[in-house]
Amino acid sequence: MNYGLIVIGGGPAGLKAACSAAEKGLKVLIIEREAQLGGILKQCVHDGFGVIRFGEKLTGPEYAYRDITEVKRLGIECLTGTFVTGICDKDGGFVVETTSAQGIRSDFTEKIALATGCRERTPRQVNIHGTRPAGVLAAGACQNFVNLKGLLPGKRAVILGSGDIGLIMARRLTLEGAEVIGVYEAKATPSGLQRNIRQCLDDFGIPLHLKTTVTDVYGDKRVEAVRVSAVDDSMNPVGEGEIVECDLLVVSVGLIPENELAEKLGLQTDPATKGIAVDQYMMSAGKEGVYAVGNALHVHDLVDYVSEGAATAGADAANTRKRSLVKVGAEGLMYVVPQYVDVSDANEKKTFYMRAPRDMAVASVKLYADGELVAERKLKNVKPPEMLRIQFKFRASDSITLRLEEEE
Amino acid sequence: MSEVKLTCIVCPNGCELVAEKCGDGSVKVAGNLCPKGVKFATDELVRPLRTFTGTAATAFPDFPVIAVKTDREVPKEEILRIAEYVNSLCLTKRCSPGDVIVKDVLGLGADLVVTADMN
Ligand SMILES: Cc1cc2nc3c(=O)[nH]c(=O)nc-3n(C[C@H](O)[C@H](O)[C@H](O)COP(=O)(O)OP(=O)(O)OC[C@H]3O[C@@H](n4cnc5c(N)ncnc54)[C@H](O)[C@@H]3O)c2cc1C
Ligand code: SF4
Repeated sequence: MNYGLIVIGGGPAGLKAACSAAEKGLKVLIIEREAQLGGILKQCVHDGFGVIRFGEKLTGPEYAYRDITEVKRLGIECLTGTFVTGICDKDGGFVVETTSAQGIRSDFTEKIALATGCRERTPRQVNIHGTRPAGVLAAGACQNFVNLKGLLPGKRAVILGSGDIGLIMARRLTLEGAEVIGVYEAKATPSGLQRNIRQCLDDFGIPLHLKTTVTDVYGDKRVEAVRVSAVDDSMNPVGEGEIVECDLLVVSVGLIPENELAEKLGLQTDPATKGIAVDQYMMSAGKEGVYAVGNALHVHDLVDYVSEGAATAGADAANTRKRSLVKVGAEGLMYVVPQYVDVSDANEKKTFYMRAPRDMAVASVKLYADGELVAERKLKNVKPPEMLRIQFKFRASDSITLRLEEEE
Repeated sequence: MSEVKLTCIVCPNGCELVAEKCGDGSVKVAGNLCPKGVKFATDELVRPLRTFTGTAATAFPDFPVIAVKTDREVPKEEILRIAEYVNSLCLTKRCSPGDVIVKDVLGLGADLVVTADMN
């Protein structure tokens, strides 16, 4: 079959990109490898989603349900239980190959949106000594076991890393009757949001140990204990540490965009985001017609902004632009998305997503065009776990730089 | 009365609040970007409230468990008791988001509703 846009991944990013494109009249196909649409939101049963987009606190499945209802209303074609195995260029468009229980299939599309979400850094990628017995789980995998399969993977849990998913799981495991002994974080500040520390840990009296890590895992077939140890500023363990008995170690140490398909297309990636480099419409800087949205582009902390970016991409898929790209310089920032700006539509408001490298009480983001300061935004309480989103309007220029500066 | 430091959990801004109970029983709040922060801080000092979210078992093999929540906030100290109660349930009817499965859970005034779609 022939499509105007094929969306790979049926999470919130893919669903929204598909709806926006369909509203512009494109013939759209969504391909999802799992049996149901909704992506990672299916397993995020807690609430807090959608406050910005819908003005109410929804659970993950409720948020996904709204987009799925819209996909159905628009009559968008969906292939679930279908895995994308390959993409290649053809006649100015792309051929997408898939496999499913129905067999293999190949479709032509003018444009593609990669909405494949992210992967978790696995326990294997963390430097811990000892064996890898059963009972060592990444936080998202643990969330999947508990919230979708209804299985409790342990009775006495230690959580390594203070990422949000780990904090959310500390509460979930407690509600399911497990004992959570503590959350251990090697850094001096938590990676998760303060509000999650309050409502997931403090509410249940679960201690958070900063500057402490797990150095060893003990147990033959199953985890029996871990060794936790204080670390110095260079993250090296100091002293003997302490043995903590447990039957579950949950590792919550971060997410990385899923980029296998982008690599197959030979797309340029940004070492800072680990996603592909894009313009303000989320279109690959290196390849026309390929978009990346949601966590496949950069890891978001709020699904509301996943949907926002995906809507921009989906609507743009119906356009033809003659692009004139300028690289966006990032100073004092961990990263900026988009990495390029198409200056051919210089008067449009452009949305930038960025992260600060460290906590700052008062800061400002300055936008320079051709070396001249053209816009500035004051910010308060800037923290790396909270993505910054700033909109600027500016004239066409040959160089654009965003700079984050701490203020007194 | 001494000041209490709180983090508002109502929206993603997560404002850092400073709350103080006054002699007349009212609560003075600073640090909030909107009026919801005042209500949150007042509730926190008087009677903290939370929404329960979790899962309930079902009789259907394609959904071993299904996401549920209380349709309104309940006293924080009841959350563990609700969790225990919800863990004793087993749904025998396929539900969609918003379907009420238990009315007035444990007499706390909130209904237990399904938040995911089984249909
Ligand atoms: C474990 C976990 C927990 C999270 N918890 C929260 C939270 O509590 N609050 C919050 O705001 N955010 C949370 N997030 C962030 C959350 O991921 C985003 O808010 C949002 O769900 C990202 O949407 P997405 O569509 O980009 O990705 P996803 O929701 O991950 O969707 C990607 C979809 O692509 C499919 N896919 C991937 N590769 C292929 C392929 N080759 N072929 C076909 N289909 C494919 C996947 O099956 C999946 O359904 C969490 C993320 C993770 C990983
Ligand atoms: S005070 Fe208002 S803006 Fe601040 S976190 Fe609470 S609800 Fe959000």
